[in-house]
Amino acid sequence: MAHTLKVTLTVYIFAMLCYAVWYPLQVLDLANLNPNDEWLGSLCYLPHGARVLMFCFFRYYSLPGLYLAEIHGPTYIHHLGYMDGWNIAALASLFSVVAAVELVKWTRATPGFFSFFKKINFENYKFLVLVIVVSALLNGLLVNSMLSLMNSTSIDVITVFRFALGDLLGSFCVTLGLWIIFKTLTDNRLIINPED
Amino acid sequence: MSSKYSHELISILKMLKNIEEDLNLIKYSETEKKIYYTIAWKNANDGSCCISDVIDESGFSRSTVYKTIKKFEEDQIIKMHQSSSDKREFNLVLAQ
Repeated sequence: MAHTLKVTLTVYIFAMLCYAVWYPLQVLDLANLNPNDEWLGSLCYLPHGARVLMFCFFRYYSLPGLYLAEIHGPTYIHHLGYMDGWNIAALASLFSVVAAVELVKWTRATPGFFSFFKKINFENYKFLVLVIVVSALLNGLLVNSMLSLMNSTSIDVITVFRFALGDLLGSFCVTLGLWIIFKTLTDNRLIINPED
Repeated sequence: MSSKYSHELISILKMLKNIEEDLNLIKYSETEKKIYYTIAWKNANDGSCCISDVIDESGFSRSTVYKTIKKFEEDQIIKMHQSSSDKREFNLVLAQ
C-alpha cells in the first residue's frame, strides 16, 4: 500500500510537471505551428514522455497517478484546448502505453517467454525507445478515433500523424531533460552515480 | 524509502547512464572524476593540494595521477604552480 502511494505521488507530480513545462510552450507557439488554437496535436507532447517513462519503470502501480494527471493536467492547465470526452480518451492514451509494453513482450523482442507479469529490463533503453515508438503510433490512432466517435466529428489524418510525431518527440525530450538533470546532479555529486 | 521504490528509481538512473555510455557522452572516466574530486576536496579542506596528496588520498598509482593531471591541465580545468616550500612539488589549483 505504501509503495502504491509513493509511486502514485511520484508519478502524479512528474506528469503534472511535464504538463506545466509543456503548456507555456504550447501557448507561446514560437514556431507558429497552430495559430488558430485548433485540435491539431502538439508536435512535442511532453506528457506522453511521462506516461511512457513512469509506466515502464513503475509498471501497473503508475496507472492511478497517471490517470489522475491525465484528468487534472488538462483541467488545471489547459482545459480549453482539449476536446470533450478527454477523460475517457485519456484511458485510451494510457492503454496505448500498456499495449505497447505488452506488444514488445509478445513479439519476443525482450528475452524470455511472454507473460503479463514479466518485467522488462528497461535499463536497456532500446526497449524504451521501442515502447515510445509503438505507443506514439497507437496513441495517435486510438485517442483520435475515440474523440471522433464521442464528438461525432471527423479528425484529419494529419492530426493523427501530428499526435504520433508529437508523442515521439515529446518522449525523447523528457528523456533528454531527465538525462541533463541526472548528469548535472551526478557531476556535482548531489546524487551518487548508480554504478558507484 | 522502500527498497522496491528505490530500486525502480535507480533503474531510471541506470537507463540514463546506459544512454550516456552508448552515445559516448562521457568525457572523463570514474577514476579521473575521483582524482578531480580529491583535488577539490583537498583544496577546500586544507587550502592547498600537491600531487603527493592526491596520490595518498585517492589511492591511485603515481602514473595514473600524473596522466590525469596532465589531461586536466590540457583541458584547463586545473592549474599547476611550483611549490614555494619544496621546489620538487607542484600545487594543484582548480581553474576559475
